[in-house]
Amino acid sequence: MFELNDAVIAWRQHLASRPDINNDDLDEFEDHLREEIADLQQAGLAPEEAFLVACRRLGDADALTGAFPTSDPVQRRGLRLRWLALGAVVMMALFAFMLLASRFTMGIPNIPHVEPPVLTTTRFIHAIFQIGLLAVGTLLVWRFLAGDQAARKIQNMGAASVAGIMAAVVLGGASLVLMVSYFLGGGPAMVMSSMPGLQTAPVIMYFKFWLPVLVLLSLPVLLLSVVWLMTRKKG
Amino acid sequence: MTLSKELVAASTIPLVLSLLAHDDSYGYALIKRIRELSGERIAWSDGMLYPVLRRLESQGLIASYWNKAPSGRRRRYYRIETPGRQELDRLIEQWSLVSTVFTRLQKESPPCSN
Repeated sequence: MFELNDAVIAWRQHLASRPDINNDDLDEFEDHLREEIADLQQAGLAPEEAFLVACRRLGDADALTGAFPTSDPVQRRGLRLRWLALGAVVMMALFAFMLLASRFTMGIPNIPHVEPPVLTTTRFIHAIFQIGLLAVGTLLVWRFLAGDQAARKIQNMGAASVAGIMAAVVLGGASLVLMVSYFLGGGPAMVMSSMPGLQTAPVIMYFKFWLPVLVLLSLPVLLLSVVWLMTRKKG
Repeated sequence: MTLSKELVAASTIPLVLSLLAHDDSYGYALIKRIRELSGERIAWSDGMLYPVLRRLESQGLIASYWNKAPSGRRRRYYRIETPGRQELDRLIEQWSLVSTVFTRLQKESPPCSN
């Protein structure tokens, strides 16, 4: 026995397997299919016939997404951007681990009489916290880019603007993660003064030079990409 | 008589813009309206409309929004934007130019007949 509702659900699930069709698209196509089926049934077709005719009229996934020669070349860019964003956040995760490792290699060892032995554990907790933060960030970026409006807005930008924003996100995000974990770790006061054993040249260099440089570097990049966005030509 | 593939492709955008210039609409209704107005002779394959709508939206000629359909499902409606109206004026001008030239040629010199 043909079950119309099940057939439509199966049809929708089949389309949902396509990465270039999002939930909004599915809702739109399903609404179209159901309208067409209703009209065909009203014209006297049996449910199964109506379903088959409506499916054929609506066409396959390639037709619906325009994945044929005359299609829009930016159609699939949203998806690539999502992978790009994921890549950027994974890079940030690697960066967080690198920072953790660098604390050991940059002459910041566990000094028994200054640092409690728990500190190594604390460092790992910080690393896990950072990774968690990055995971949440990835999820947010992914959801944002999956949204139809946002994806289309980004698809309209030039590649240079997108690269600028990505750079700003990576640098800004990295410095944010750095600052958060830095202050969670006790802040500069603790690191710089209550640990006299840590007052080595590379440590001072790290906190007084490299950290501000990283933060300052991200600001003009962010500013540049904003200016870029405001002045870009609509294409 | 049905339209050739090339002519369907060329006329889709002006037709969609004209329909939306009258009133906001959604995918299936647009296709149904074209079928009706052309006496079933312009039969778009339904699916091909959506890439066109996406492209027009990404170009800022039209915009989409969600609303509840009488059936209770949510439905994506499209409306024409100011650049879309300007583009439509341009396209209408082009089409009437071709049509005018065509009509004049038909009048001035009879079609070749051996």
